[in-house]
Amino acid sequence: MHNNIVVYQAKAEVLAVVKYYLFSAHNDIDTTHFSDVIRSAYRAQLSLVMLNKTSGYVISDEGFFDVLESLLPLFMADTDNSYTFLMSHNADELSLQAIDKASSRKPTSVTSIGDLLLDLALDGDFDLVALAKKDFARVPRELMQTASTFVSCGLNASLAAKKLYVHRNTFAYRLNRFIDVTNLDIRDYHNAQYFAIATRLINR
Amino acid sequence: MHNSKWIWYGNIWAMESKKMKDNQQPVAERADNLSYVSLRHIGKVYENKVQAVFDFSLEIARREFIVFVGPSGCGKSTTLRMIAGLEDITTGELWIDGVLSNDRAPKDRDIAMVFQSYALYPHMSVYDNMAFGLKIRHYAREEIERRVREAARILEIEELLDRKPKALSGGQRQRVALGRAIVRNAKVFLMDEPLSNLDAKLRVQMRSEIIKLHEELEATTIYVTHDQTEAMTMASRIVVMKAGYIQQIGTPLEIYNHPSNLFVAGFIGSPAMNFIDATYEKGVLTLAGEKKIALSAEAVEAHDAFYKDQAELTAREIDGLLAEKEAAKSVGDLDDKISVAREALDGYRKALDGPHGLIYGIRPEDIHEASKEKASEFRSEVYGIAVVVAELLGHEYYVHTDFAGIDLVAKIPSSHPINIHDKLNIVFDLGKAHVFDPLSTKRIY
Repeated sequence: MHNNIVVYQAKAEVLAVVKYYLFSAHNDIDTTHFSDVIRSAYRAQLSLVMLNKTSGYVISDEGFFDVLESLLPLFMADTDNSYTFLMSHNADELSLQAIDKASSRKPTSVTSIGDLLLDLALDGDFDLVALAKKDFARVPRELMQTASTFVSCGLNASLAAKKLYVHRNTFAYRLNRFIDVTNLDIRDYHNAQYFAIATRLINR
Repeated sequence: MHNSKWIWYGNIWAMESKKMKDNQQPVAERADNLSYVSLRHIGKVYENKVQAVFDFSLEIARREFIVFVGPSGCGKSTTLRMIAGLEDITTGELWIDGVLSNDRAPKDRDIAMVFQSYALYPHMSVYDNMAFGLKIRHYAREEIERRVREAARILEIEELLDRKPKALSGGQRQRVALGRAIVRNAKVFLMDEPLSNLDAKLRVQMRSEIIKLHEELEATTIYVTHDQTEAMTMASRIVVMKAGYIQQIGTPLEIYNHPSNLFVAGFIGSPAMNFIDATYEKGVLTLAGEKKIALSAEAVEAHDAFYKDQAELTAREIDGLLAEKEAAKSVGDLDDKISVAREALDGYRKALDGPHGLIYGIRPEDIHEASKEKASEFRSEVYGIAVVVAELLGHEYYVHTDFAGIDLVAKIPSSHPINIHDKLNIVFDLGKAHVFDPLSTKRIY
């Protein structure tokens, strides 16, 4: 799809929950400086992919979000640049459009796709909701119901299984299938938040 | 040296290097402009068409300590980021040390920034945190060592160099954050609310540390804050901003003693200036419908001159708008502007002849407990008031009183106890009071 340049690839170990941190910079990025800075800031699993001179994404885990929130000013000072970061569960079309919107709406910030979706909806912008709707449209109804119930039960699998009148194992199987199909691991807080906001806005 | 040549700019020699010529970066007209950072009619419009900064012009001399102050969303941080190159400049010109810098990359502007957050790389020592910015720019190890040790000496954190950030207090971390900027030996320091995250006591301490640091480094500094106390105590000049517009530029004393308008008067000073609706008629002000103050001859003169000037300016503005309308042959916006201006002109002309409304402003520190001496010194009437709230600060009270239905705050020394419902006699220091025009919000005197 993109003419990606993988600047730094972490060891192929499995991350607990994979997160994509899409970024957009105000000026051209010096990839060596940028790579040095983020690797110095966070020593866990981390891969850096540049999409063009001013944007790209970092693949890491949930912990990188906190690092970004606290160290973004350092990144800016050390690289003479300003950045907008968006944490998402994917680097798909939805996320790429989302980082574009985030960088013009909330420059120099770190945000999650769920928060952004809500902010945009409050301003009457439902472009991303339309894309999310397209994503979820291909998910079987049964799996969507499994995911919705899981989220509405506060991510409590036993409770959700009981509510759906299915065996705990059946529930686990369906939840895993939902995660496989959507790449959205809703056992993670931010992903569950995105799912709850997106489905609520889709069904508004 | 053969790549450079000296040029006479009227009354000063300047060296224009070949590199500068090659880069098409013009040298500023140094003859008539010795400012170090020059912002000329800077404007910022975001992609969503929201304009954050309007026609911002400011000349900053070498070694000045400039403070941008204003409420949230007034455009002060946006302006700072435009100087740093972290935001595009939509209109206007930015000159740094004689070089047009609108399109220069941030790294070429020779600027160091200190942000609100005093976060540091958690697993690096203080030394490494300070050295990191230089390391990734490939400075020689000896040079890095020299600069870090020198910055640590200035900031008195030499004994902390081996510590990790988690072993530092908030104030020490903020010092290290300053150290990270100092090691860059930048021409200009930009500080974006660097003390907002600190507790009140530490903030006061760091305030004086930064002033001392500025004295020692002699670096041109631009400091952004929403805290008027920081602005007053630190700045060599203050720029007060509101809604993207500069309201006033001046030294702390100029801004405090001669605020240009109601906003500046209310924003600078703590507690804020008291504003009382007043009516003016034949040299007499009636405050809140009942308390009368006879104005001095100079004050009446200032009043008449102000309204005469305003009427003249507005008449000229109307002429300009009418000419514009005729040339553009368009209606709409211009018609609205003309009708607003005509209404204003009417108001200004009436103010020269008859009774009209004004806003009387007096700072809490210019209201005193009455004594015979003070009443005659300030030529003020004595007003009897009831204490609504008395806040004791140790050496003084902030006394909230009911002044003809208005909450008037006075600073009264705590030489004797003051309690709620006490009756007090107060006098105004009339020489320090201000009067504002309610329509334009400008200060009359």
